[in-house]
Amino acid sequence: MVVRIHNPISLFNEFENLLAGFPTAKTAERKPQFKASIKETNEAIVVNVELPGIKKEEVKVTFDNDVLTISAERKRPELKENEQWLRNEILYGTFERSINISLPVNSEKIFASHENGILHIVLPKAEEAKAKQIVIR
Amino acid sequence: MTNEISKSTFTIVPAVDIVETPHTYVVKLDIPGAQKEKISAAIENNILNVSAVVERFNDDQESDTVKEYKREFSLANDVDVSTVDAEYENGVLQITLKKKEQYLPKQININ
Repeated sequence: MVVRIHNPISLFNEFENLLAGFPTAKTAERKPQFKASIKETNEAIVVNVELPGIKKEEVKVTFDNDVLTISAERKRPELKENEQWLRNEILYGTFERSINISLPVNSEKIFASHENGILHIVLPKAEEAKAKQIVIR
Repeated sequence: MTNEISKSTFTIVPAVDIVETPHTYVVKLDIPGAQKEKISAAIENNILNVSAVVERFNDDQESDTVKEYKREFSLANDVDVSTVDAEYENGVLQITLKKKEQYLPKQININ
């Protein structure tokens, strides 16, 4: 069977793209990525973000033009001269994540709390976005 | 537009940092969202076993997702298993293991 490859260079690009999905040896470029869950209820959009090791003061939440942005910095602990890393799997650095909120929300009433390393944000829906029960006559 | 996600359980291996100091080993594990009471750390046969259950509740206060964090560590012989200190803050469990007296760096007096 003959396999024709029209653009052999594209294979390299594909390989590169594959590699991009893996943590590489270039640790300097590795950034913390925190998990988020987004849920819609009848009344609100509820966002939970895992931010372990980050204090409340180190998190910034903004809402602008339907985009909710969460940014935080997890500072790398500085070791003293007589201390050494035996293992370092936790990623440190700055982190930002934006979530597009596709429904109209009441931006005056957005509520955020932070507990046990979870950032919890409630964005109440605007009146026009709430589900309405239609009365059948 | 409601998302119906049935109850599911995930097992997660938490990321860990270990730092050695002259007198201790400091182990940090990322376990976001746990209640202190739902975390367990135990040492048996020189193995440190850490586990935690994190539940997420829906609007009816029923748990719909369970995350189970689990990780084991074999301890070196120099760890004093009788005095282990653990604290949980901001979603990070920090365990401090002290080294046994005979393994500590010693200052030798010169007569």
